[in-house]
Amino acid sequence: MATASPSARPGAGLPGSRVDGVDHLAFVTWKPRATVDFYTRTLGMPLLHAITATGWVTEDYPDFVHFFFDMGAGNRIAFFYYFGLPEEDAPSDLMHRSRHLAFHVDTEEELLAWRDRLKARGVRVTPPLAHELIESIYFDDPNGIQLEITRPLRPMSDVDARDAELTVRALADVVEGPSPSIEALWQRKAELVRKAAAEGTDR
Amino acid sequence: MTLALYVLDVPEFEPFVRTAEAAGLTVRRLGDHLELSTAEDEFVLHREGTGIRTALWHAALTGGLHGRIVTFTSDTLHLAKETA
Repeated sequence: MATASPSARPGAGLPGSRVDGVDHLAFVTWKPRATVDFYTRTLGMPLLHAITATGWVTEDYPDFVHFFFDMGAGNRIAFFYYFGLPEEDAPSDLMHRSRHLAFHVDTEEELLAWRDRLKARGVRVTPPLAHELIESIYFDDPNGIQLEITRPLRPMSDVDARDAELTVRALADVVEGPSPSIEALWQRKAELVRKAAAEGTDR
Repeated sequence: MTLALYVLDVPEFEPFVRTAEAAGLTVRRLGDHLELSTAEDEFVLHREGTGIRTALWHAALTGGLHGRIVTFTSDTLHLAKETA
């Protein structure tokens, strides 16, 4: 099986051709004390930076505090606290599960150690769940943001990227068609798989 | 046309391919994928006892389906030839 990383693409080093990972990912909190405690103590992410400002961005922009934690690998997670902003309703269960942030660990041992650590600190955390290529545990931060810690079950390879290309092409085709469904996607995918095999473009 | 489904030839789908083959489907390579086909009009596969993980089972048609779904539950995958 080919194991070359799909990220190793020609031209990846040219200026303006590719960004380099996540600088920061920003959320809004209404619980600053619990948030700082959770990210620094429970998740062990050092506080890196905090800025405070009047709401200068637009006329109705609230005064704010913006603070950053170190997620590792040069990545940061940031929160805004806005003064006087009414707290938003919780998202639906589906949106809560869908809009999540997954942290990476390399091994099963690390994944299980994180589960133990979270449980020891009173965090409700799921048992490990094995998906196709990853195995994950899930839990919420104090803001109700779903977090995940995941480990790879195998490296992603070129064959995965080629298959993904056909899947997203099938998706785009069926959502523009008269009756989008997962069945329609799978039927379109079969056509594309057969076509790719006939043309020899799938390997 | 023959009833067929396609599975990417990667390790996590091996239990599914083995189960399908044991249930009588013909397996042949088609590029990056394996084609699992039958000359029958219908085909039923049960997950119980196969060792196929839940997430994998529900994603088993990701490679594509030449046919239609009669039933697809957490234990039963019932496929049939397209009637058209």
